[in-house]
This record gives sequence, C-alpha cells and structure tokens, in this order.
Amino acid sequence: METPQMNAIQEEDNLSPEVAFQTPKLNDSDASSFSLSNMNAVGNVDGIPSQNRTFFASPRPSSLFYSAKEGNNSSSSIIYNPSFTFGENASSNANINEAALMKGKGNEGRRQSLKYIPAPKLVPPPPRTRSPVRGISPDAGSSKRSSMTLDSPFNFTTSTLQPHQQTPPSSAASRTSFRKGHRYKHSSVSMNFFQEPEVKIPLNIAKSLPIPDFNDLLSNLPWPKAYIQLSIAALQIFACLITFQVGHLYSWSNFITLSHFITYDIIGSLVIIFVENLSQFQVWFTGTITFPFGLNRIDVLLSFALAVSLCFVGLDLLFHIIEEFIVLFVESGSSLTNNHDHDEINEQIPHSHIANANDSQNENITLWYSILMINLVLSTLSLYKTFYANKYSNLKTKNPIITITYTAYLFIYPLLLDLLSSISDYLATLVISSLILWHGLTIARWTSTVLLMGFSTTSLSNSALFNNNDSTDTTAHTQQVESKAAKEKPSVRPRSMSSLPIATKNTKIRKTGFLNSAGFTENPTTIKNMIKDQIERLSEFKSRYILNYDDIVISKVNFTLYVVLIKITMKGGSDDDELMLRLAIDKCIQTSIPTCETTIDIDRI
Amino acid sequence: MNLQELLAKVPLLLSYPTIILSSNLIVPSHNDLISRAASTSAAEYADEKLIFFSTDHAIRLIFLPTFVASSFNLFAHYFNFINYSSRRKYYVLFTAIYFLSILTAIFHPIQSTCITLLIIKLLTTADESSPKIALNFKTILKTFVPFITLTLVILRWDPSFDASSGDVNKISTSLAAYALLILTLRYASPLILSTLSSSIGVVSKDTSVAQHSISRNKRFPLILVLPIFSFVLLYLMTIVNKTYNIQLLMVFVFFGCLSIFFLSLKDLFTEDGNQKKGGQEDEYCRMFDIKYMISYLWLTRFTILLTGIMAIVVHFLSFNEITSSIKTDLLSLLFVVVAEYVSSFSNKQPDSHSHNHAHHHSHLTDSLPLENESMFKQMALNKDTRSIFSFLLLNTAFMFVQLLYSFRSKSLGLLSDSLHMALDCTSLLLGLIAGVLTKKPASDKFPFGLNYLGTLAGFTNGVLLLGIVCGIFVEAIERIFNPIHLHATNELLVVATLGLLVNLVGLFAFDHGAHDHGGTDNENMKGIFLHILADTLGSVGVVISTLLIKLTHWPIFDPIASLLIGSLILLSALPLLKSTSANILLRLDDKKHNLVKSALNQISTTPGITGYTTPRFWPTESGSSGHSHAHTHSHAENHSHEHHHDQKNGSQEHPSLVGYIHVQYVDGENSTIIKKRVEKIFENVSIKAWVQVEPQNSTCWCRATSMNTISANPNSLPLQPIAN
Repeated sequence: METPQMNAIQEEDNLSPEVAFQTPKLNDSDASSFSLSNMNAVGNVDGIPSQNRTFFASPRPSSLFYSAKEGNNSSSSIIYNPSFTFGENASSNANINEAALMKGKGNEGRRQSLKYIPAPKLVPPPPRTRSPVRGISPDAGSSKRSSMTLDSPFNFTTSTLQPHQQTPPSSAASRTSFRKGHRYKHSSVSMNFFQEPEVKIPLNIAKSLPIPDFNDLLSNLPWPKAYIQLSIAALQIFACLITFQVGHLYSWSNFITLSHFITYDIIGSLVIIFVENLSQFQVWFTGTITFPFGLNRIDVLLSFALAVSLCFVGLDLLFHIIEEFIVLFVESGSSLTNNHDHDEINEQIPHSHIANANDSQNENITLWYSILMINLVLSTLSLYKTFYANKYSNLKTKNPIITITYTAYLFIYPLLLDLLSSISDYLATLVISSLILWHGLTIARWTSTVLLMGFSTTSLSNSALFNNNDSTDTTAHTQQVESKAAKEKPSVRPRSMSSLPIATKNTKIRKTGFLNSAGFTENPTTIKNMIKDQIERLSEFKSRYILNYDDIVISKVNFTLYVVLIKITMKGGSDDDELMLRLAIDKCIQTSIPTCETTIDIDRI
Repeated sequence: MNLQELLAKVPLLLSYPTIILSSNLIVPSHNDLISRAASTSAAEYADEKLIFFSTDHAIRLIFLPTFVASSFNLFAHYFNFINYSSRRKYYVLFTAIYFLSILTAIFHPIQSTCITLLIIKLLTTADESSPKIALNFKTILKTFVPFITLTLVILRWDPSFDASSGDVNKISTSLAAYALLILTLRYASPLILSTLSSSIGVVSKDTSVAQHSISRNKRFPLILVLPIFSFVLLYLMTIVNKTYNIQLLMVFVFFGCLSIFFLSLKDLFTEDGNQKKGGQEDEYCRMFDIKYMISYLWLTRFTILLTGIMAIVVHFLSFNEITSSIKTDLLSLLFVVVAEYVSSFSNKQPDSHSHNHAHHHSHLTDSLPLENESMFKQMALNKDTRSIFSFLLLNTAFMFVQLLYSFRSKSLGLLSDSLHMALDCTSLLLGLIAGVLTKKPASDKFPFGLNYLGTLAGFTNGVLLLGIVCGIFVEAIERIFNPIHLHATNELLVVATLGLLVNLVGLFAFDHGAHDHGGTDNENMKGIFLHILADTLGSVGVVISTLLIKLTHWPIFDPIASLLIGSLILLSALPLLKSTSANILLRLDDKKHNLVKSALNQISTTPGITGYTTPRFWPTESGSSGHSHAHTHSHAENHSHEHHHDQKNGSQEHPSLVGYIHVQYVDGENSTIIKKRVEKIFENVSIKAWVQVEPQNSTCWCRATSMNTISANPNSLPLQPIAN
C-alpha cells in the first residue's frame, strides 16, 4: 500500500519546482530592471553558453552509442525501448519547459510500452518456473536457471533501491514471470506505479546527467534573490564606468584604482550567481561516469581563477608603484629640464600622482564624496546581498571588503596635507597591493591543493583567518537541514548522493569534530598518523590485521567533500568480523573528518 | 645539441656588454658632468674643474672598481661558479677584475667589451706545458698593435678633438693603459695561472683539506663584506659631493645581468655535462674544466664578433649614438671585426692541445650545493623545460636592457613594457616550475601526485592572458578617445624590432622544446606558448602601427592594432581555458567513459552481486594517453602468494583510471570470492580501484536512505518464502 503512494508523492515533488519557477510575475516597475538584468546577463556572461554547449554536447555520442549498443541486443530490444526514448529526450533537452513536456510524453510512451511487455513473454516463462519446483533435471544448466530464479526477487528489490545498478537482460524474463505471479494479488493500477522507477533511475545517474545550457540557467533564476543580485551588479557596472571616467577626466588615479576593484567585485558577483544557479541542478551534486564528483569542482576552479586574478591586480599595482619610484629617480636626476620631463612623464604614465593632490582639494569636493558614497553603498550591498547570502557557493575571495577598505581610505584622503597625501597615497597603494597579493596567494595555494586532489587540512583546523569560512559552511549546512525538515523524506531520494543526508548525519559530529580538531596542526602527516593510531586501537582491529601508513589515502575533492581510501589485510576472520571492522573504522573516520566518503578495501588471507 | 648551445649562448651575448655598460653608469662619468657644468658661468667653471677632476679620479680609480670587482666575486660564489678554496684565489681574481674595470672606464664601452673578451680568451687558451712563459711577447704585440692603432685613430678623428691639453692627456692615458696591459699579460699571467692551478692542486691532495677549506670558506667574510663596504663608501662620496648620484637602477641592472651571465654559463656547462657522463670526480680537473668550458663553449668562433655587435646595439639604445660621428662609427665596427680576426688567429693554439683537454675533462662537481641549485638543475636537465629555461634567461636579459634604455633615454614609453616583460618572465617561470614539480612522487599532502599541476599552470596562464587582454582593451579604448602623439618613433621601432627578435627566438625554443616531450605537459606548454605568442604579436603590432603612423600621421592606428592583438590573444586563450577546465573537473572522455561502463556492466552481471554504489573513477593524468607514472604502493609487496600474482601484473600496466566503488553481494556468498572477481574485472580494463564489499543487508553511508525504505517496504515479506 505504501509504495505507490511514495511514488506518487515523488512525481508531484518533481513537478513542483518547475511550477514554482514559472510563477514569478514582474510588476510594471520591475519590468525595466528585469530586461536590464537580462541584457547585462547576456552581455557579461557571454562566454558561458559556448562552454555549456561544449559540456552538453559531449553526452550525446555516449548516449547514442548506448542506444545503439542496446538496440543490437535483439533479445532485450523490447525491454529497453523506453530507455532509447529517454535518451532522445535527454539529448534534445534545450529548455526546462520543453523538457517537462518531453518528460510527460516519455512517461506516456513508457506506460504504453509497459502495457505491451507481458504479451510476448507469456509463453516461455511457465516452463522455467515449473522446472526448479519439480526438480526433475539435476544437470548444471538446471542449477544455473535455479539460482537465477532464486536471485530474481533480490535483483528486483535492489533495482528499486539502488539507482546505480544496471539490470542484466537475462533476468528480465524472471522478473516478468514474477510480476505475472504478483499480478493475481494486486490491482493493475499498483502494478503500473510499481514498474516505473526500475526503468528511470539507472539510466539517469549511472552514465551522465544533462548539463544545463544558458537558457536553463536563465529560466531557473530564483525570484527575487537572483534578480536583486543582478540589479546590484548592473548598478555597480554603471558606477564603475562613471568612476573610471571621472578619474580619467580629473586625473584622479585613486578613482581609476577604485574602478579596478569594483570591476573585480562585479566579476565575483556574477560568478556567485552562476554557481548558485548551477547548484540547483542535479548534475551539481550527483556523480556520474563522465564527472565522477559532479560539477561541484567548478566552485573550486572559479575560486582559484579569481585568486589568480587578484594576484594579477596586486602585481599590476606594485608595478605602478615601481614606475612611480623610477620616475622620481629620473626627475631628481635631471632637475635642469624639469618641465619638459614632467610633461613627458604625464603623457606616458597615466597613473602619475603628482597632479592629484591639487585637483582633489580645489574644487569638485562634492563630486569626490558623492561618487565615493555611491560606491560605498553599492559595495556594501554587494557584500551582504551576494557574497554573504549564498548557500552553496563557497567563493573564498571576498572582494568587496577590499573595495570598502579602499573607499574608506579615500574618504580620509582629502583631509591630508599636500605633502602627506603624496606619501600616504604611496603607502596606501603599497599596503593594498601587498594585502591583495597575500590574500590571492593564500587562496590560490589553498584551492590549488584541492584541485590537485590533495589533502587540504585548512578547514580541519581553527585557523583565525578562515574561521569565518567554516562558520559560513556551518550556516550553509544548517540551512540545508532546515530546508530538509520542511520537505518530506521521499523527496530526498533523487538526491541520495547529494550532501543533504551527509549534512544530516554529520551535523552533530561536526560539533564534536571542532572540539577534537582544536589541537591539530595543518600537517597532513599528523592527521594521517592520528587516524592510523585510532584505527589500530579499535577493539575490532586484531593484532593479526595489517594496516600500513602508505595504504591510507586522504584527499579533498571539493570545498565540502573528503575522500578516504584505506586498504587493510585481514589474516583470518569471518564475514561478520569484516563487517564489524568496516563499520567501526567508518565511524572512527567520520569522527575525525566530517563529510567524507570512506572506502575500506579489506583483503582476507 | 649544437642547437641547444646556441639557445643558451644568446643570453650571454646580451648580458655581457650590458654588464660593462651598466657598471660604468652606476656613477655618471666625468664627461657628463663637464657637459652639464658647461652651462654655468666660465668663472665658476675654472674653479670647479680641479675639484671635479680629483673627485672623479677617486671614484673611478678606487671606489667603483672595488665595488664592481667584489660584486663580481660575490655573484660568482653565490652561483657556485668558482669555489674559493683559498683566500689567495680571491685576491688574484679580485685584482684582475679590478684592473679590467679600470680599463672599461678608460676605453669606450664597445672597445672594452672586445678587449676584455680577448684577454679572457688568451688566458684560457694559454699553453700549459710552460707555465713560466704563459704568453709570448711577440704574440701579445701582434694581438694589440692593431687595437692601439685603431684606438688612436678613433680618438684623433673625433670631431671634439682639439689641441688642448685634456684631449692630449686622453691619448696619453690610452697609450699608458695599453702599455700596462701588455706588461701585465707578459709577466703577471704566469702568476694568475699558477695561483689558480696550485691552489687546486693543494686541495686535491687530501680530502680532509678540501672539507676544511669548505668550512673555512664559510668563515671568509670578505666575500660579503667588501661589496657592502665599497657601496657604502660610494654612497658617502656622493653624499659629500652632491654633484654625483648613485643610480640605483643601474645597480639593479648590473646585478641582474650578472645573475643572467652566470646562470647562462651554468646552462652551457650543464649541457656539456649531459653529453659526457661520468668522468673523474676530481677537484684537480675542475679548474681545467672551467677553462675548457670557457674556451670551447662560450668563447667559440664568432662569439667576440657577435658580442661586439650586441655592445654596439646596446650602446646605441642607451645613448642614441655609437660615437660622435659616422667616421668613428665605422672605425668602431672595424674594431669589432679586427677583434674577431685576431681571436680567430689565436684560436689555432687550442687545436694542438685538444687531446690534453679531453684527458682532463670531467663532470662538474658542486661542492657547495644550494637549494636553488637543485631546482635549477632540474629545469636545465629536463628535456621539456631546458629550452624554455634558456628563453627565460634571454627574456630576463632583454628586460634589463630595456630598463637600461628607459633610464638613459628618459623616454619612459618602454618602462611599463619592461615591467610587462617582468610579468611574462614570471609566467614563464611558473610554467617551468610546474614542469619540474610534475615529476615529484606522491606525498601525504598530494596522495595522487602532482600530475595535474601542468594543467593547473596552463589554466593559470590562461587567466593571466585574460587579464592582459583586458588591460590591452582598456588602454586601446582610452587611446581612441584620448590619442597620444608618439614622438620617438625611431627608438620605438628599434626596440620593438629587438623585442620581436627575442620573441621569435622564444617561439623557436618552444618548437625545439615541444619536439622532445611526449605530450605529458600539453596544457602547460600551451600556456607558455600562448604567452610567447602574445608578446610576439605585441611586437608585430607595435612595428606595424608605428610604421603606419609615420606614413599617415594618424594616431588611430595604434589603438586599432591593440584591439586586433587583444582579440587574437583572446581567441587563442579561450580554448586553453576550456580544455584545462574540463581536465581539472576530472571529466572522462569517450574512451574512458566506455571503459568504466564496460566494467560496471560486467560487475552487474557477475553472479552473487546484487548491485554497486558510488562508482567514482577519474583519470590519473590529465588529458593524455601517453605513459603514466606508476603509483608507488607498498600494498602489493605484502603478498608473496601466487594467489595475488595477477594484482602485481595489474599494477605494472600503469592504470589510466583510478577510483573507488562499493559492491553489495548476497548474504550467502563468500565476500572474498566476490572481491577477487571485482578486482579481476578492473585489472582487465586497467583501472586501479579501491573496492569495498558489503553484505546486502548491512548499512553504509552510501546507502543511508535505502535501509529505511527496505524496512518500510511491505514487499519484503512475500519475498522470503521464495528465497527459502
């Protein structure tokens, strides 16, 4: 009785997000901002469609190959016809709305095809079913058939419970006969509901998931959060252009530097919006054959790219300072022809600060402060509405903090004296560029370790710099738990590989984990030794068992997921001993390293 | 490998004349001060002349040569080029460089370059069989009479020459310098050679003496103290007399070119060390080895000619002229040609002694290893990166030349270009370091090795290229609205053409480097190649736009060229970013995808297995199907049974994929047999997998929600009777 209801609820839950995305309505006052956001999104994220198309085009050959491969097998052509239909739907998925319609058609096709399945298979199954019951033939062929018949109930059960399994074609007949026997006990409606998941789930998850293209991303922008973020980014673009133009007109090099920072804020905002939107899709969390850890590593890759860009900006500012110093040397060296060299210098180095102090203090003080105020407001909005408001995006470069710091410095700048303003400008730019370089290098080193499948221990220790990031992650997980509590349990099934159950499982352990990790250093060797000692001290770990230090492999694959691979050699021991040891080791590792996937390879001699 | 020697030699041609020129420019010369003082009144000129003269002499003859010589020895020691086993060796070399530095102050920089190179060549090719008479008097006279004649003619034909006492003193000074040089070569060269040889001989007799000399070398403070002390004296001298100024930029250029010089020499020596492996590890052969290297690798045929031409080019860049008139320009060129001819004449001597040098040849031994040394050796010895490393040296040398030029000419258009070249050198260095570190084995921090570091370096270079493109676009748009009138187009053409030549050498080095490697560092090399290509296109754009501006006087061509160049760089950088991104996301291509699917199909059809979860497999190396590095796991060594023989064979096949999987089996089956079957399947398709076998009814994190479903499933009840 309960199984059909669960399936029905699952179907309704699948449809509800699409309906929710279609319902947002635009007011008359928001129509212009919406179109403006669309224009900006199209213009700024212009590189994304080609990249998505590249990713999206890759599943097509494998899908066609799979269909062709299954089509060659004549004995299973009738059974796998629905999968062929589903493959076509996946390859032609160009829009969510069209996908919904195609999914509906696919369901209808599957139901129609399922109705025809019992007919051609009615004649052969009865003899196979009868032969093991009677036990007449004692030969090997009979024993094989007997074992497969006995296995068929379990295969049927696991196919509904484990989405990665691919049903062997030789057991289809047995399952059909089972359904035939089952048919006399239940109604036809329950049989229809009961049959659907076995066809759908293995094809979805095992091979590849459709990668959303640009239109999918646009249609899935959550209202009103993403539109507010895009509006702030659009306003920042205008503010950036105005700041750059004013800085160039009045030779305010500080404004040109500020426009550089605002540009990087805009890029960071767009990256966060992109990652947040992409994380709504199943391909983000679920691992497939093509992307073993999903697309979640894009977050790490984009953080690394932005960190490298920060280093580039820092180096650029440092080089400008070096140019200024060299210009000072040249001017002091040739004091006789000062006017000519000064004009030449102003012509060829646009970042010269010499003409800056006079202009900023004479007139235009209102223009100075008004532009700074606008930029300060927009940067603060960007910081709290975009950079701190994300659930899934763990972008580590908090660019608006740098912009706000520099803007606050520029508020004080006109109050300084003529001589001090020049010196403080050098010092401020030097401090800002050094801070940017150090920050960018730190994040680049961290994210590069994750990208190289290394064991990054930063989040395991309570370092003062990244403690906020850990609290952000904790907040994100708490929000996930809350969002899970709002839903029913069957809705979790499509994301069985996602971080939701892991977050549920590890929320309590995380608190314990923080207490344990208080005394750790950031040395992977120390943590590995600690884990090895803990495993060897377990009561289930006998002295006859062998665990080498080199057989423990720990790596971090994205911002939240660790992978622990262990090889153990057991001398003696039964299946129960193996099971108890594995469960104990798994529990031990979960205590030390939260949100990890453990694989314990036990060899019994 | 003659091609590689040529690549390694080019930075030497550029850095050596720059060393000589920049060492003279650390303090402005007397002539510059005289020309500046001419603008003052004649009365003050008569009084200040004597003061300038004496101070200039003090700086030129005492302080500046001390600083130059001590700095030279410091860099030679730091780059482990010369092993100072005794103080006497230091003093001899110090004195030699001291006098050479004075010579460079007396003569014209171009003449100084050729004369000093010739002196080094004469010393390194001297006859060893008769140390008492190292150089024949007749040979020396044959060598230097043409130079004396040419120097006097150049001085005589100088338009500024007159019959006043100053210029006559200049002629007398040159003649005195030549006389002193000839006498020193005649009588002091045996002392130099015997000092170096005997000190080596003493060390080689006893190993403990060698170790003692090494430890004593660490307590030899003069190597470090003397440069600092002489620099402080120079600085105090300039503070006392405000007319003089130490040019810190020239000190920076001087130090930088010294570094390039010694690194390039070590690059040459490492090349020869590769060709002839083994040999005697004896300290006695070290000195002869260095002489052999200098005479046969650096100062080969046409080296003096090419270096002289480079000196002419560098001097032209710095002073906008070679000498003061066209006649003396031609005479300077003749000076360079005569220097090459004389050296080729004296080059006959080493041929008769080649068998002796071959006998004493041995591999260089580094008795003072540094941490930088190992990284340098890995860059230079690695086939993939050594060509790029040579180009990095050339690029850095050219950067220092641009710094020299931007300072001397006071037109700062190329100052930012020089700093931009510094950024390119940083990018090249990043690619080189990635190429070296990729070979490192796995560690605790990186359990799967650093195989993806090349891809990550390529991605980083792609991001940096995007930044450069944005800068180009912004600057081009700015120049469209605010055009800048170019004044010194001739100088811009010369420097852009030289930059183009440097980048063409880089592209050539890249082709030579790409010819050797098998594609393991494909993205890394592609990132480096795009940077070199960006610089090349930049130089081409500058040349074309400058020519068009000169023809039409329209400044619009400069931003148009910038936009075109930026677009080309952008179009070439985007595919690099796409391929490196896909690789870093651990994406499987179609071949590997089918491999995994085949394995999973076999697992699902294996009897006894009810299913699998979390099949995660990723490539061991990024994007290449070439040879892969075997992961060093001691797990296989623990099994001495024949039962695990297949596992060893599997590990030897260099798996292309690595990952893990959880397999569920029926409760009645034997888990060991199930595991062996699964491992066999993965070995057949060259996948290295961690396999966790689970009873179907047991719990696991990968099936956290399935247990609830099983317990809540009413169909589990009617299944049991059939199983029984």
